[in-house]
Amino acid sequence: MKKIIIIGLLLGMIFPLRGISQSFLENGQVHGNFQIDGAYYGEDSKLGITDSSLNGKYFRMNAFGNIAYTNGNFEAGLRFEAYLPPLAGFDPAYEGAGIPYYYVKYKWDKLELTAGNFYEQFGNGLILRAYEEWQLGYDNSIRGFRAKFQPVTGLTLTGLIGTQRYYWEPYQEGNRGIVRGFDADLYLNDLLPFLKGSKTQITLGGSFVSKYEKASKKTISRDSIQDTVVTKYIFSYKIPENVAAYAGRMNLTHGGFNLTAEYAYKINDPSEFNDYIYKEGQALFLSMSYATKGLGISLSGKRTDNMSFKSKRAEIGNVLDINYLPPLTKQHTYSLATIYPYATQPLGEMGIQGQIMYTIPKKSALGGKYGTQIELNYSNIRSIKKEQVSADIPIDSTGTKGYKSPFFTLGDERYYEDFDIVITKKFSSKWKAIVSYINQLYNIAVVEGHAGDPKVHANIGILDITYKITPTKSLRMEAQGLFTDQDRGSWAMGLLEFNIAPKWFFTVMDEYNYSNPDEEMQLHYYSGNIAYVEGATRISIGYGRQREGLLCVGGVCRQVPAANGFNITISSQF
Amino acid sequence: MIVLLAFTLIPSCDVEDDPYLVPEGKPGPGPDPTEKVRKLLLEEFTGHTCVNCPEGAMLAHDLKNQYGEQLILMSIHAGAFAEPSTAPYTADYRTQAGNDLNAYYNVLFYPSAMINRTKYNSQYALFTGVWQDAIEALINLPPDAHIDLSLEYEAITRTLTGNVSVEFLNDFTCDFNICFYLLESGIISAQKNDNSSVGTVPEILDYEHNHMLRDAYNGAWGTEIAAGGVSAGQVETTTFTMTLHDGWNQENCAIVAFVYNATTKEVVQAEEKEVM
Amino acid sequence: MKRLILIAIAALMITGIMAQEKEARSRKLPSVDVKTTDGKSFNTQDISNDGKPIIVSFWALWCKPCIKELNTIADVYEDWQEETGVKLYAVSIDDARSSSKVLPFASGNSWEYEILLDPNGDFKRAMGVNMIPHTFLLDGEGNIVWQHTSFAEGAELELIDTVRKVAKGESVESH
Repeated sequence: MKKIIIIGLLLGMIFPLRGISQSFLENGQVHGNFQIDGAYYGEDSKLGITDSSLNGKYFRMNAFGNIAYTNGNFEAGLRFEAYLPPLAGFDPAYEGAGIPYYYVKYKWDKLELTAGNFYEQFGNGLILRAYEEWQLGYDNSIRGFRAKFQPVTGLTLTGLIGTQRYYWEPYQEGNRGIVRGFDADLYLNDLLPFLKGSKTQITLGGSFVSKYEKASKKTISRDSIQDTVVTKYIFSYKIPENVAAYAGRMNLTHGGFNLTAEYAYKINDPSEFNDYIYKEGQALFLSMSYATKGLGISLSGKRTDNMSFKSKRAEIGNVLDINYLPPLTKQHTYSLATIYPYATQPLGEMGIQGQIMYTIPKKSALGGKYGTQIELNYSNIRSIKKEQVSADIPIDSTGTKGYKSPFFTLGDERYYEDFDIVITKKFSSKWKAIVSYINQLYNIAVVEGHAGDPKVHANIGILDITYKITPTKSLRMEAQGLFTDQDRGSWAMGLLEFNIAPKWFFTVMDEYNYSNPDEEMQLHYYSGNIAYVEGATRISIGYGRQREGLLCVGGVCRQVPAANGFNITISSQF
Repeated sequence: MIVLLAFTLIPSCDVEDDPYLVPEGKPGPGPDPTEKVRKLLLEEFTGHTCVNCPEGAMLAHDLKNQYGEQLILMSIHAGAFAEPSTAPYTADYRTQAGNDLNAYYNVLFYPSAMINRTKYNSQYALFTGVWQDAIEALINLPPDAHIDLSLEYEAITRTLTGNVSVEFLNDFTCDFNICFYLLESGIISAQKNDNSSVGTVPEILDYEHNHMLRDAYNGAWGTEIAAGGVSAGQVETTTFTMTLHDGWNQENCAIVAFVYNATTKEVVQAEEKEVM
Repeated sequence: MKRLILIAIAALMITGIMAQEKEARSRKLPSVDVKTTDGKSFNTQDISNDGKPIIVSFWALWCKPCIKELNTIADVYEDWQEETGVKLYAVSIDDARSSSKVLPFASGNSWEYEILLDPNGDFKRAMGVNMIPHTFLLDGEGNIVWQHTSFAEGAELELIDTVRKVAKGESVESH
């Protein structure tokens, strides 16, 4: 039904466009953007990639094209996607092509309505976040209706209802649930007269999200032993069809000082992900920061307990998440520092993170002629403490409340710790350098599911130097080293990048896993890349061997398998 | 409009009370041996370095406890996690038939299982969360065929001979094939594991592998048993011979025979019988 | 059904391109709600600079070239402002994981830009941004006249040249 309306609207736009209405054209605009990521994979005996493991899929491509038409307050658009087949490491269930995203939007003075697919975030996303991340192959857009209403300045109300994207599967009752949400956002300084113009700014928000999924029969058999006679009994789970979650948030700013807090609560949500326990879920996200010119300090804390919230009970993959639990740790950018990235553990984690950003002023003794920037970061994430609900029920038993968890008690297991210092200094108009040291503790068993592997202790050193040969030609050199005795051993990395501003980029890079305990795997992961940029268009061609790893964006991770071959990316907009 | 939306949200939460598990009684006594019921085939794709597979096997067993004779289990070791690796994972439990099925059905994750090789929610290889749903969709349907299987084992030559009679209970227009798979249980060998309620983590050194596919008569796709359609009451008979390898323990072996629609490849009926 | 939509897209693209050739099509900023670092809602149509040029640059804490670009411009920002009156809006697409660290980072780096937060990528999507850094230049009337993606040392020279032209009211090549 919805599809017919949207096709009708699109067709309705073609005929006037083809015909007379130049005036229509004057107001209407068409814009779009697209990206094509292609790769040609080759064999690599050292990595174990052979003709048969490639299975005939030598050339793979992920591509999308967005197009949107706007005319005054009206907007309509769609996105075409093709995975023919998906690049290595992307979920193979995405193979195919089609239009998974289309919408129609109209904005009146105080009301905006969207029909079709949309993305939305309530607060920090603790109970609802629909978003997409192309590099990760992540897309949980909601297809349905959304209304945004601003009755008075400072008050925004949002309501939505729909189903989430599930690969290419059209919605059918029983293949996923329906999501409904409501959010209110209040900027008190506009609503309360005594706060108007005050230096203190307060925002409050509250949201409510619930999902409906038809319950299917789920049973389990249990043995009952009496006088050495074992009898089997069958039990069925009481499955709640409507699961609701609530969240409240607050943001307070006073001059350079800021305090943000959000608390979320979810009622019983037994699912495959939490092994069908009936415990309620809670999440708390807290952040304080102080910023003034030349200095920025931030401290955040977080606690997550049983907050996996999917619109399909039986799903355990990286799809159909209704909410988003941000990890607290710093997102590292240098390649060796991203070998061990932390991913949020929705079932339970708690931690803190602190960061200081300071610029030593120009012309001071330590600062030098141009000033020096120093950044310090520390984070520590642990498990939550789980206690038995009652003496005869083991922790995490399916079909029970699962466990009790005292809110302020730290768990026993360390998940991730890191400490890093980054110093950026410009020595002269030609030389710039960044020096960084990172110390990481990474619980690979929990984060990557490698049960039994010891925690990885890594020390990383990074040197990044840029030399300006001429005002538009520069050479950048990177040298990194990761030193560890666990997992795959230590790595060394070197990179050389030659740029001709603003259009040309030439890069060669090598990562060498020199102390891998398995001598056959002490490999060089070399690669070269040329990129050309013209305005909004970027074309990049690369060749090389890519190491196996995890690509994480915002705490959601994708396994990237080792690969060898060519890759090409074309991205532009019009 | 927003007000309407708000109203739809208010009645939206079901908080469940303890106890969360409702007793449904004991599993039924099982069908009378002479009674003709539908029997489903659950083929699980697994591997000894697959950390989530013991959980899958435990679920399959639990479903067998509930559905009894109507559910027949099979474990196919195939794919990346079944490859022989460093000790103690040097064993190779893969078979040609298993590899062919793994490739044909494009199995992408482990553990996954096919229920009667029938699509559920447009997928063949299903993840654990929907195994029971897929079984429930089929198990109460009346049977389409009945299989009578008798076996004879000759110890010295290790030859197994089987006689099977298939009675079709409805009219069909398609061709039918029949397969005979040899399974062995009680194989003790290391298995990776990451669920402490199933066994030791990170590995169970003395894990018991059960109903493991060892051999298939005439490969994964078997032989034709009825061509050009059948009518209700039609009976087809056939025989087969297989030789057990020396390493296989005949006391723990069983034959699974199943009839499937040659066009859609969906299983119509299955039957299981121990060798000894 | 898919074919109808493909025809629709093709037609729209053709007419869009035709329209571009027929008249100097002015593209303005879309109307998207983002947030300021105070937590207040801010509509992108309110991005303005009294008829002087505006730079809108998309960045994130995890994007090294973006930080390089903004640091490089920060060194000469005062001079640019004196000369052309340009104002730079730095739109961070960091999501909830790092959005609370955006202002401390920017202040710690002594940036003088207007910082906007786009945590769910709404503004980024509406502007057709695929990869960051992506920088747009708007003229005094709010038309997008120039854009560039990626950053190399020295690219800021092209940017300031373009800003100077726009400040004088000259027209620039759209790419």
